Amino acid sequence: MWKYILKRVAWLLLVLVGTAFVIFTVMYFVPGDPADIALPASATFEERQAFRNELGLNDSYMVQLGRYLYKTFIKLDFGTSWTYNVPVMQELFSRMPRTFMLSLITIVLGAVIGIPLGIYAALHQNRWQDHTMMVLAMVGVSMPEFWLALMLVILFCLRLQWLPAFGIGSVANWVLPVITGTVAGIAKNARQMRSSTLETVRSDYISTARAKGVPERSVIYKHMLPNALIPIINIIGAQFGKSIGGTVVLESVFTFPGVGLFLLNSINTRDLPAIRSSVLILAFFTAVVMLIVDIIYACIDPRIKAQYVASGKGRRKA
Amino acid sequence: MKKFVSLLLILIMAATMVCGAYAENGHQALLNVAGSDPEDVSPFKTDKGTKSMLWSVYESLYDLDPKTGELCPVLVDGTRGENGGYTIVDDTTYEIYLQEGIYDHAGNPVTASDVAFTYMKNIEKGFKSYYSKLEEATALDDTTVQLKLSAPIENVSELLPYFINIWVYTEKAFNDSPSGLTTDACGTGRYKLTQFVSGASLTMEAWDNYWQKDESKINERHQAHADKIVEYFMSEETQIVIGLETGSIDICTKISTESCSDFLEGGMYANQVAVSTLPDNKEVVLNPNCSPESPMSDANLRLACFYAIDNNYVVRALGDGTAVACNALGVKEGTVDYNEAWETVPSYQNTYDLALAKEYLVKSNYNGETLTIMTNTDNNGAYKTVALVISSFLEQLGVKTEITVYDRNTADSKRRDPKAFDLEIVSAVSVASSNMEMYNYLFNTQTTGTDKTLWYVDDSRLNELFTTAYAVKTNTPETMEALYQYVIDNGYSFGLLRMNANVAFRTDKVEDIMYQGQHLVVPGSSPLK
Repeated sequence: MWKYILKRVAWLLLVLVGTAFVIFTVMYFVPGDPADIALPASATFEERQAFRNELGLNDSYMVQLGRYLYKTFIKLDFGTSWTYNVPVMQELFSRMPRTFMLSLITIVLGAVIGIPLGIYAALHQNRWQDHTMMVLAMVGVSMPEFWLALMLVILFCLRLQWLPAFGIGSVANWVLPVITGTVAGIAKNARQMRSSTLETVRSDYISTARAKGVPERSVIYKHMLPNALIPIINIIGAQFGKSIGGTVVLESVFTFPGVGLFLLNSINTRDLPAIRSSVLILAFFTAVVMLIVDIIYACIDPRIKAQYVASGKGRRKA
Repeated sequence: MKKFVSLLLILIMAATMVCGAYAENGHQALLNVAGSDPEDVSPFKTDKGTKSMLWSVYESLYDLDPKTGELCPVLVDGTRGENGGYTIVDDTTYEIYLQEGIYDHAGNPVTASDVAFTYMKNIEKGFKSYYSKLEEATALDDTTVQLKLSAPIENVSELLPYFINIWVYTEKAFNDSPSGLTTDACGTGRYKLTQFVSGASLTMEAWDNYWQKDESKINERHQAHADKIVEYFMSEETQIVIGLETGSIDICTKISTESCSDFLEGGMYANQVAVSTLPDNKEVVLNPNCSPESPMSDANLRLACFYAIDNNYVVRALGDGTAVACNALGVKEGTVDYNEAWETVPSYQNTYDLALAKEYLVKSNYNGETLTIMTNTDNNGAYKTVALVISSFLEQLGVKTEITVYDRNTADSKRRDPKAFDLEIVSAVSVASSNMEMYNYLFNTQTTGTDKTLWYVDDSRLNELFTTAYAVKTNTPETMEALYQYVIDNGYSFGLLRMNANVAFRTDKVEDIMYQGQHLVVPGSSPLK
């Protein structure tokens, strides 16, 4: 098992170096001069050149790439943001807890609400409960996040005046972003859980358990649920990885200062150190989450575990 | 399952109600402002529009009266020196006289050495262009700062940044700040920055121990009417509108005309929210690419195109109240060198004449090429609408066009390729007190490091006229007039319009909006009800 984890960690490092290379190359060719953004319009040609020289922007692609990879992976120096004028990691880590917390709450709520609803729909297949839930789930999946956010703002902030429309100062500020982020998660999880449960319900071991007279409750909780949940873990892991970097819409609509908004602003202002480091950090988190998901997968799915153990024994024999 | 769903619904309802009650009690700030993200709170880049809130935290040596464009002493002692706070010792030596008894929010006395430190630190931070000729700033005594320049200052607009683009901070405050005054602030202004949440908000509280005790010396832009101001950095206009409608926002420093419809006369919230509108101090210009690579290098084609465009119609196409048409290449309000006669002397700036345009077109070398109109996405895509209308006018003339739209940074880069465009719709720089600031951006060849301007005008006569009008000793209405006429005669730039800057405010809380020199809102000094 440890070998498997080590192998995945090695892959993670490769993924990070690859990401760094790709993001550096893409940003190198994106038009836009940081000197125009950082310096006043009245700055002379010489002042702009001096600024570029100071940042090493006049060096060749290979020199810049080498310097970037060396600083990032050897010295762990992620640079200073040109627009925020603070070390990128400082700015990222001040925003990361908010984004992380928002993601965590939406994912947990999405799972806690979506999974039981999916099971409930599957157990009532082709009845009104199933149809109602699947229609609602379809609506939830189809609704654009920004539209839902604005509708919720209009309802809860403008009409009912129950909740604030923006800010991060109190618990109330988190309610609407959380609801907006959770709706799609609930819908996706419910749909996935329903189909996964239906697949499991039709399995031979469930029929056998029922034929042996095992109580329905035990059939559901002991035999059906553990197997039906396996694909869901993968989906939730992917959702978490995506939501850490992909909450730009939520953050923008609710003026929620998270990593997504930082990245968006950095792209608009061609803040190269901020863009490179943010993408790298997000790639790192996503890769770590997926690694954890794979490990959990390997732990709970005896088939994967057996496959791994079998291949390990095979190699030792050879 | 039914029990689970019911329980869940009850919990959600209870949570939202509790949070709602909590939120209701949380609104204790006296003035809530919706503004743009300043990114940091450093006192270096002073002309950045999104940092206007910091104008109440830091103070400069002088500020500009928005109505007259005149310098008003703030930290300097206006009663000393030959020029109301400063003396020109010789062409390259200036002495500035500070008031006595200035101290900052941390209680540090502000002396001439701190002002000198601020100059040199700002240069070190990359803002040399504000004080491009400054060689050294030194303190002669506690209240006298001496500026040694490498060459004489040639123009009023060159002199202004030395006095205005300097938010003074003390050396001690800078050294004591863990972030080098990037995420915390310590100025001498009427408000103290008490909290800055990067990307979210900043909070300021009125400073009771303001150093200036003589009320008669405090101008209206430095009053503190609100006890506490919270600025939220909001980009989503729907949120801002809802904030204004519900009263959770008291002032919005910038809002588009489309979003103001509910607040204008006859609108649903017109009795609760008012809109103060000022034409922006930036002119949106149509600049031809004068490089030999472009057909627009032909003066007759430039004049043909310009006479074929009715900028009043362009403004109408943008919608009521969105912009004002320019009848001359220059900003009128608050500038010292605008000549009102420019508006009446017939030129393409104030005349739409398709017949004359066709005459110029016949004289030109235009061979049916498709001209590329380049613009950017600023101002919520308004420039694209401008480009579409201009394209229609040129179509009427018989000139084919295509439109390319980029984000501003990309457009700035594309401009460096003379083959990338033929005409560009772009916003010129802000004008504080002199139109030479805009002319400097449009016609100064120093910004490119070549003999050409940013739009590839390679004309020694233009350069000569510009240099004469720009130099402080030869800057007269006559030299300005000569430059203006030459630009218009050759069709080097067309001042199309100025976007209206809307400020919305709750009338139950705010009586009127206070502006400072660069058309920026000063919420704390705005009279309250």
